[in-house]
Amino acid sequence: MIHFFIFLPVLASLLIFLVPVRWREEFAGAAAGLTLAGGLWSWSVGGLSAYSINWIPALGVTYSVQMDGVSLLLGIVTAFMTLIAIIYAGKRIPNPGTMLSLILMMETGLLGIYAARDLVLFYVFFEDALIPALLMLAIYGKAHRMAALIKFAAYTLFGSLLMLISIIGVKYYGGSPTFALADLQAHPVTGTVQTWLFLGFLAAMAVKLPLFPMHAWLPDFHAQNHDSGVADVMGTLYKVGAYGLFRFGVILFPDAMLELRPILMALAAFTALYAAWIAFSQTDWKRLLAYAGLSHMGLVGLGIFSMNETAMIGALFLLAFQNVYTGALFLAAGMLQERVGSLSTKVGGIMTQAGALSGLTMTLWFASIAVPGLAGFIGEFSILLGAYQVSPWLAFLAGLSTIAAAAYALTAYQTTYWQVRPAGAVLAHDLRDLDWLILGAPVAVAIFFGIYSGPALALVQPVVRAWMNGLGGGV
Amino acid sequence: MALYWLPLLPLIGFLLLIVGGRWFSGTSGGWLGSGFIGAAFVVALVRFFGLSDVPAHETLWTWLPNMALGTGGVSANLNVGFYLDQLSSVMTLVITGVGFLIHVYSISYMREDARFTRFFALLNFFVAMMLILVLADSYPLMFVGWEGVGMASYLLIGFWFAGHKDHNAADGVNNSNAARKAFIMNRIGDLGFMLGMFLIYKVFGTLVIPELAGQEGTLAVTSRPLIELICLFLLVGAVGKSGQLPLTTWLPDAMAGPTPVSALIHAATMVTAGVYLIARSNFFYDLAPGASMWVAWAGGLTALYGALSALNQTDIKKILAYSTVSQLGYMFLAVGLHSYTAAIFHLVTHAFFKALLFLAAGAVIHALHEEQDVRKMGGLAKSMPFTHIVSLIGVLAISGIPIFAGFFSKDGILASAFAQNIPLYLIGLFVAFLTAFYMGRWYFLVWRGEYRGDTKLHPHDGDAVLSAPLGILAALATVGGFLNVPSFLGGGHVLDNFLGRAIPVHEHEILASTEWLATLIAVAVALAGLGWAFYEHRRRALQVGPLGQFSFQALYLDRLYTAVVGNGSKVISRGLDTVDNGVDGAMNGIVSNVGAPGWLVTIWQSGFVRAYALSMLLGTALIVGYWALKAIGGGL
Repeated sequence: MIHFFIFLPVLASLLIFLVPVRWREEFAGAAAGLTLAGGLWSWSVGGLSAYSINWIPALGVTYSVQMDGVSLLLGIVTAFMTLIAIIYAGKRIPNPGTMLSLILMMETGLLGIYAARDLVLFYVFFEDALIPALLMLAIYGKAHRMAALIKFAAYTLFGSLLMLISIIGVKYYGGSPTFALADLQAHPVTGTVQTWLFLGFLAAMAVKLPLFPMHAWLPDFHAQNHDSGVADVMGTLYKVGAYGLFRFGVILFPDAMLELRPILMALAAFTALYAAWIAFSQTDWKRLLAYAGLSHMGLVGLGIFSMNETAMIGALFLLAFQNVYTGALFLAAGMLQERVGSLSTKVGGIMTQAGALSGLTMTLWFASIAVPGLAGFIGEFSILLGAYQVSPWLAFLAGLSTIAAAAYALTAYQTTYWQVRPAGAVLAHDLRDLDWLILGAPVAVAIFFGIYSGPALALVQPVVRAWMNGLGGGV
Repeated sequence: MALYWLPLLPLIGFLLLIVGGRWFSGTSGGWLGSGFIGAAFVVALVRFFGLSDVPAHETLWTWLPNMALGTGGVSANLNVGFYLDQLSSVMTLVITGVGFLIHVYSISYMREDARFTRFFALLNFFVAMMLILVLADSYPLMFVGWEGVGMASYLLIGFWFAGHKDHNAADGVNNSNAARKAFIMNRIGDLGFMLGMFLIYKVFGTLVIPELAGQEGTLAVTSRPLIELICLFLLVGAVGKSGQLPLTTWLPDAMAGPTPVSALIHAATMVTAGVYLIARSNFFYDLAPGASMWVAWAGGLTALYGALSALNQTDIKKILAYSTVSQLGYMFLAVGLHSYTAAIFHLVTHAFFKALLFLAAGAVIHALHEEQDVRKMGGLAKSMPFTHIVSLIGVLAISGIPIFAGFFSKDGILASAFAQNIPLYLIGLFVAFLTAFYMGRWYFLVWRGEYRGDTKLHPHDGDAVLSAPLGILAALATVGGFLNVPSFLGGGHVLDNFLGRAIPVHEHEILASTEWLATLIAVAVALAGLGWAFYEHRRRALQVGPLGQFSFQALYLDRLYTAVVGNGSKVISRGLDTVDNGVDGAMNGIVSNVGAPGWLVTIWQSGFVRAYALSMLLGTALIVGYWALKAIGGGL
């Protein structure tokens, strides 16, 4: 089952070219739907247990996968948002076969990242997801896409290289027989070496978190991707740095993470505030969303780096659900662009003409700026509360981003959706058929899990407890 | 009836009206929305009569990780739960009762509006959130209601986001800005509230209010500075929501919303949430004399600030708005002096007479076709006799004239200030004088003298749907004070005793003769204020109030904030944006220099980033290839 869940999308991404052109949207949708169903089924049976065989015995590389609560939550969210992205891509992009194939290919990479319990396997999936992301930008991007692409690739590959070195180092210095997480955990690396290896691992994760100052690829990446926002959904899902740090960093480099905790927390808190403040002066919805996402990722980083149980639960919760509403906001920006031909935040008066689009977008924004009762709040509140237990001042600094978030979100919202529609501007039509599903489903998820968070919490909490106990519980 | 029905009923109303807006034609959506609030009022009544000395505590489902007390050193998950004691019961009655009246009033007031049904959806949403706020059994759940009402307030202030009939650009920008300002300034307070919660959790390991209040032993031995700090953090939150100094400037701007919104949210209920928060946290504040003094002074100074700003306003609603700021200051003054019951009493009577005044103002605005300038009114007593009478009752009530509601409640606050803190008492007395004056000015400018406005208009009283709520509120503003008659006037402190079963009542030792004297002084001051207004009215000098621009600009506080904070953060934002592009450039520079072994130099000259990416790819491929070879070799 677990292999089906991981590899069904990539299989579909290859088979799609055998399908007649007119059926490709339906085929991709069915594949993504099946994957999501697989994820939901796995949830209903309480996760998928570990599976491990040797892959390249000579190198000690194993094929070890598992879907525990955290992996499952992130996996299901990935499958869900992929399905939403495919529906919108099929509706918006003419002859979308290539795009659909790339989305599905990327989905397998992302699911693999969450399932992998072997460092080299993790690395393989990590790089695997990069290729479709680059191709989407290269094929469907805007005028200055090559610059954005090169920047994105350079940052990612730079981080990946350091990560690869540190992966090899972890096995070499610890004396583990394989790269499987369980073996590495049994043969820990200690002392200064651990710190250096962690820094190598951190480099890759900081690019993908992203964390200041490794974030510079992000705004260009989003601004240059296709107007529809489909590729941006996948890009948002690709921010797996925090997950990597949780899954491998906490287990393999506990001393280093504790040692560097003040610096890393400060960096994360700074990222959260810095990005939120910059978002305030953006006039392009996609750039604004890029900085808003960066700000949230700063908070996620703060939660992970604080090594506090509540904060870490909050961080994983926020990581999962910000994918839903940030992704949906990219699609909402795409719908705005579809109607008025612009991504500017100064369009004005959309709500007088497209009430449902504006209302759902507003709900997503409220989720994004962590209004309680919506899913964003549970994550942010837990993170800040947990971080406060470790460092009150840094929690305060990061907490300032909640004020800045209200400022940037409502300002841009106001000048786009409120105020008067300029005379002579095109008439923006309201949501039509599938649009309702594309925005409505994420809104429903954001509301449901904001109020009734128990099911999602039950996935995350036990795993985080077990992970923290793996540290000796004394933190 | 389970407690969850209280917020659930308005929430169902909200969902029906927001999703099915187009199915409700005419005023049916308004009646439906009012019906849900009426039903909630019935539930509140049932629960009120079912109250015992043991508070009701009903928990529902798991919500937040690790934020409640568990067993064996492992913290438990926080549940969504509702808690009803005498304090929250009084609040639910006020919210649903006054809320119902304002809903009914709105059916007539908003009849012409294109988004009629949506208006009621949002009003229902607000009531649901406000009920969650007062019924919450934990601080985070209270925070749900707290930000929820903020959201509702944002949506309703910005209800006319595109200006009059969606076609007035300047109006649209103004209304939208006012809504946004309210939300952002509330967020500043909310951060304080959150920090308060974080610190409470750090010290006590739980955020459930009954659990905290039950920890008397732990509370007593907790170091005082920590408790003081908790109380100061919570004060920041309360100040934001209740429009107290220094976070007060959003509240007068909030008058951009429709008048029923001003009455319900920005006078009767939401803005009193700060008072409720402090009264609810009395077990902290009783142990924090320093922070309590801050609360009292924040209240006293805001009362003065609001009264001074109200002196020379020209907008019929702005006068009432600054008056609200000022009256909320009284309530803060009272909770700061630990006279929680006096504050709640004033909260209740204020809800009656301020809602009444706003709704009456709305009736005037309606009758004069959106005219809001009091200088263009006058003499309306003849053409709108009913509205005139209820307005007069409201003015007498807020001025503290005996037998009307405000007299008893304001007197309770002044008496406790007199017993504890003479400077604050003097401020309170002075504010009472100013209140009587500016309300007198409001009354004479609107209702007496000659009509100064557009002669083409023929103002008249509203229809029955509009007038009935006014009549009921006027009755409540008249007799509401008898809820809590002090003993020296032969009363039995009914409300004090009732609330005293849930929150502490600190008795003050004042001689009955002294109390008589203080009361007489207060009444004399109120009469003097009204008399001054009448004198100015006879001189026809009321149109320009005292203090000129200083008062009109609300002591220039808003301008100061816009200049320093508003523009400051914009400049910083632009600066950081530039810096961020710089970071980008710097990273490119570092990248190009770090990996600069000589043989690649020629390629880098043609565009180093691309070449760098290429080299990374090649490097990765080399390593993987080396491994692959090694693996094959090992396998052989």
